[in-house]
Amino acid sequence: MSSSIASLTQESAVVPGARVQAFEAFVAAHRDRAIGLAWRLVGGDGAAAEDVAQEAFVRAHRALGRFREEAGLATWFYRILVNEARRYRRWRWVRERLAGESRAEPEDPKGDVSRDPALRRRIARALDRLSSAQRETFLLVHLEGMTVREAAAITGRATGTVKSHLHRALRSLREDLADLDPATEASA
Amino acid sequence: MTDGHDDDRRSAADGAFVRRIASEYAAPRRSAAEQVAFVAKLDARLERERWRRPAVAAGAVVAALAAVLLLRLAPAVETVRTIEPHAPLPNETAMIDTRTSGGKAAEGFLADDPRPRDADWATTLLAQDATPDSGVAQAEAILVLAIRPDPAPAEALPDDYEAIASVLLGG
Repeated sequence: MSSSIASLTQESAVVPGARVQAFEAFVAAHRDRAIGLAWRLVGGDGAAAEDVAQEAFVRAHRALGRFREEAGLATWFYRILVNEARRYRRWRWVRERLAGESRAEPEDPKGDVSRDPALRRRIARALDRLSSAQRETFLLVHLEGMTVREAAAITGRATGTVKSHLHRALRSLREDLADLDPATEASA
Repeated sequence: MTDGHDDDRRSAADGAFVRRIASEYAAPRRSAAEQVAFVAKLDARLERERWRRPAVAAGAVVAALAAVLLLRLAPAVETVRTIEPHAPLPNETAMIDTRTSGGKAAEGFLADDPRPRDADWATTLLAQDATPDSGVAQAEAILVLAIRPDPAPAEALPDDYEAIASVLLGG
């Protein structure tokens, strides 16, 4: 979790130009992962994922002076990103309620022939049925490969709570996506 | 991002299931052009941000200065409170009518009695403790005070007496 930009704030205090360069390096290092995580957090919507990632980078840049190294910089940034995704989902929920219409399925990624669009939509719907805490911890730990401790730091929850959410999320997904479970396939 | 805490991440039994979901549910690979566009858009936003913050701060300072200036230049305005006379309410009108007609009746009643009944007499009588046979005299005293024309403000009856008088006269 150590970041290439860990010395960003110290450098920027001495040389203003270093701050810009360090932030650019940080964006380059985390851009794809940030967009990928945002894509999963917002339910597979590419445009929304870009917006969320952009907003997270802008907020991180704005708050860089307040970063005090209590957590790793990457942890701090991904906390901002997760909060942005939460904010996006809340507003989407409000818009849907006000407009009285159900959400349109995000468009299938162009040129992505390696994956099954129908299966992707099924997984998105199964993840949508989880609570936000379960979904976030499942995505961070199981799909993004973070540790429970990192996920706890990012989501602001205790490690025990994160483990509990993981367990419930996995159980729920196994019920919804039983055909994807090798254990079920083997017994069938 | 991993740092050796994999023991609490997932069991081997869950591994295949989770890997399947991870491979199927992932953001599409981004083209070089999309990556460049993302960075350009981010740069533009950061540039706007760079200009926006001083502009907002300057705007706040200008607004504060304008407010101070307005407060200094504004003439002192004295607040004048005007109490408009109002028409009597229906129940007030009824009370006035009752008092007027009752007053006329009382004047006629008192005119038949030769005893002197002035305001001093009535006030003195009312100030004394009531005796069992003083009920009539007290009623008379109240009548005198009630029908007395235009009492001086200092001598005006309290509201309670006014109410009692109106009831008695009305009855």
